[in-house]
Amino acid sequence: MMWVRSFILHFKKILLFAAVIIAVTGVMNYLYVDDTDAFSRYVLHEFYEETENIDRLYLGSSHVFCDINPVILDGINGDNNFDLATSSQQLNTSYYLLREADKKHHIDRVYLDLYYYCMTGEIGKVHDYRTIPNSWKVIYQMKPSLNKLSYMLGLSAPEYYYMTFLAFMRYREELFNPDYVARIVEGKQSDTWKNYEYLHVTPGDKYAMTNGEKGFRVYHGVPDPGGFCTKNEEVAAGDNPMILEPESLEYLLKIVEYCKKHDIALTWIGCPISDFLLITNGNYDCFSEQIRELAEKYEVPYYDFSLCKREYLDVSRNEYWSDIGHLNTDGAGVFSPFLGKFLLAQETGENTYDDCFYGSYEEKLREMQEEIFGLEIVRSQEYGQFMPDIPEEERDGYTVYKIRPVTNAAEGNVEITVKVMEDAGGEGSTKLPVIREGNDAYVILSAHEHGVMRVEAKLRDSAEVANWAELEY
Amino acid sequence: MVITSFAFLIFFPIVVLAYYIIPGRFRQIWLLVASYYFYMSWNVKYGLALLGVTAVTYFGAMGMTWIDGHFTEDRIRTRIKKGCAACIAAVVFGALFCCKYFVFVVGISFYTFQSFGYIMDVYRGKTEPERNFLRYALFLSFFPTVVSGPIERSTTLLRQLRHEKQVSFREENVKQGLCMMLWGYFLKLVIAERIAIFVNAVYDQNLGGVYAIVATLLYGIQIYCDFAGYSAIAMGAGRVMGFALTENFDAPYLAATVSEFWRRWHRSLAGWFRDYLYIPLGGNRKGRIRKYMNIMAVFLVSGIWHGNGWKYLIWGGLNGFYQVAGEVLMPVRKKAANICRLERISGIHRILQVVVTFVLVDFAWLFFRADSTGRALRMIKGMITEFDMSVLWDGSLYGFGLGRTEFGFMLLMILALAAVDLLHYRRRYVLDMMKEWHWTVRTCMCACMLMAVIIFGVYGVNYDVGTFIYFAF
Repeated sequence: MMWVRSFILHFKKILLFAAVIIAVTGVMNYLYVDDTDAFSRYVLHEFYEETENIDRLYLGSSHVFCDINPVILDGINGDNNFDLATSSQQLNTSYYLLREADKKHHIDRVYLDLYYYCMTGEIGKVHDYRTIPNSWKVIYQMKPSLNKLSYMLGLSAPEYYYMTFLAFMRYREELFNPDYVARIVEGKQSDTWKNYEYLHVTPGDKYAMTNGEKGFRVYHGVPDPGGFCTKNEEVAAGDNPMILEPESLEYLLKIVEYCKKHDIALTWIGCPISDFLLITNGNYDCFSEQIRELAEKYEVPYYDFSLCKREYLDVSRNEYWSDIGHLNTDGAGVFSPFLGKFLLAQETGENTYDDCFYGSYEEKLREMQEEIFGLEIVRSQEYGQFMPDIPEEERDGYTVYKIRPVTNAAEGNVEITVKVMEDAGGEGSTKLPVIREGNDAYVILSAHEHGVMRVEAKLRDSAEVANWAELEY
Repeated sequence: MVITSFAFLIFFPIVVLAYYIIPGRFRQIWLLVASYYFYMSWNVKYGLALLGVTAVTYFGAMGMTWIDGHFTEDRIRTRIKKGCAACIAAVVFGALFCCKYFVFVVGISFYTFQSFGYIMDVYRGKTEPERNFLRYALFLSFFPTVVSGPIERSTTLLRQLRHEKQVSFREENVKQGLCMMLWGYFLKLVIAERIAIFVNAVYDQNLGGVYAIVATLLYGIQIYCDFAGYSAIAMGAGRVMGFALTENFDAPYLAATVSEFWRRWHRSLAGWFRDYLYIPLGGNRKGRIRKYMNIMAVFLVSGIWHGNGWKYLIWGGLNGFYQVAGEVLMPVRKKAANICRLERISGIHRILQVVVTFVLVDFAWLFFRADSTGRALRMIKGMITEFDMSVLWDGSLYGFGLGRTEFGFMLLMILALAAVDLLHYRRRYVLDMMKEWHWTVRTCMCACMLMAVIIFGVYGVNYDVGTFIYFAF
């Protein structure tokens, strides 16, 4: 019986060794992993706590948890709908979350939101070290399983495993920072964290982001009253050629295959994205066309709600958006019922697609009335051509603002006015001279002068200012 | 393949597992294949250099045996053997010279010395020539030692390989070996790499004053932890497979004289120089002057062995000079100690000797570390001309990559190392002490040590983990 005793002793040693490793890892994760503000923590917890069978699963990025309210959809289709969406969810994450959900529930239908940002450009490279932190946030919240292990092993090159498997290692730059640890511990001592509630408060915002039900995020915030406006240091748009990354495509096809194999009805959707964002990013039709071709090839229904006609779905009003990319809860209140009814109609064989949607984004812009969707203000010191009289060495003393109205209006149909505000109320103001180039306008200010500038844009034939923005210079 | 790399963490367990699973007669072949794979993973061409040195020395040794059998007259036989040994030396050291100064080959300094040591042992009749080419090839290429030593002897590793069939799996070997490896990783990743952040920052900026003094003092610890770390990992890896490799370090910084330091530092190289250079040159048998010349010769050659450039020659020369001066000044030093009554309070005398030895050795390291002799001299000048003690407490030491807390942690770890070395110095080995502990304490201790390396180690994708300092020699 000596070997039995020896075996038990060895087993006990291994068990103790593992227990110490797990305990130390647990303590380190508690001290260092910052998930105090992670929506994925709430979503995954809600998902694992869901006792009722999930019939319809919505996967995708933040657009899903902002735009699609499962409670509204429950009322429309009578099924149990659930948003298993996380911020910037890449397709590998969608794939493993689908498997995770399918393990526990009998999923009938999966709706996969295809957001170009998560499938093209840098973030479309799902195994790239710059994008894997998106997956880490989800992995950390997943329960131990073979599916999770497979996700972790396939996520990246082996040299990143230590951060994939030991979450606290991602925060190693904070290892000797007691203030950071104190902040994390304080966050984890809060009732919201302990109770798996989500609460995000942005300073100066009168609304807080909170968790709704079934993976939905509640937020009533709206953009500035003058409409969408981005204020950048340099031009950033147009970098993304909107070509589907092969790594994303691989997982998109894996999802298709998985759904076919497990008899799950898969639908690709595109949540509505503001025209402002689609125009500033450019090339949207290029992306859309690739997805349409794939949808045809693999026989997957695809509905892109950014191409929806306004007479069917009108979320163009400012108060439906929380920012340039996401609908707020009121916007979700408009979109979700439409989505639910539309999908139900398609499922029952009623083909309303052609009525509701434009064939392309270009067509949509062409067919719509002229409109200004927002303003893009870019600060630069590079526009030497506007200062021919000023010697090059003195140009640093000036700042050039490029004001670009994001619009479908024909060239010359937009009027831009720039004023320097003399008091906070905006009563007294001085109009600045602007240099026009098509619909764009340029204004040159001395780099040594500071104040508030108000930019207004309107269509030439309109009496009302469509968009305005105030900018400190 | 660096032994701190993820690849090694995969490679090593596979090699060990297979080593114990396959029948005894195939083990050496397996180790040989694994060793060549390990070595050639740096560069496939390096394998040719290793194979060349192996072939030359193998056939050289066989040739000497042939000479023994065919020449009966002692005088002629000795002459021919001497000539043969000289030819082999010319080929081997010629190859070393070429590889060192023209085409760098990792580890060549180590295995050429090991192979020539074998030739000398055969020449002197201390060992039988190895007839099994594969076994001899393994002796030179054994993967834990091939890159940075220890420089093994025919009487140590080769002898064990000859009796390797008797080596069977022993749990104690595996446990002790893994603990040694863990200690090695601790020295390298937690201490050496952390110190390197500070030292590199100061040396790269050519700073003088207290910065240079602190960096130079720390460099002494860094190079010790770096090289002793590698040696511990190599010894541990060997031990796991049942081989006892030469212990390269024996608490060197607790040495009371520079001579003692060199009996404790890089013992396998120091022993090689003693047996194959110092003693053949006459050692201490041919009068004082000759002895001093021999010491200087050994250390100058040691300097050349480390690399080209005056800085290595100065480093070697300084170490030789310290020893010669130490012997010459011995009567004066004794008298001074008597006058100061230091002999009576031997503890303080001893500490003083240790400190002085450390400072002397460390001063020589400055030349070793600096990019060039000119820079080293400028730093020495800067140490004096820019000396400002306030740097020690005004916080400016923490601006070189290590914040206050991390700097303190580093000093704490150095203290822990000093405590372990003190025990080692007194012939109390932590590994032996651990055997007396209860298994729960032992297990917890090992698990915590592993986690300490994982948590506090400086490694991974965000860090530029330099290879081991001695890989360059």
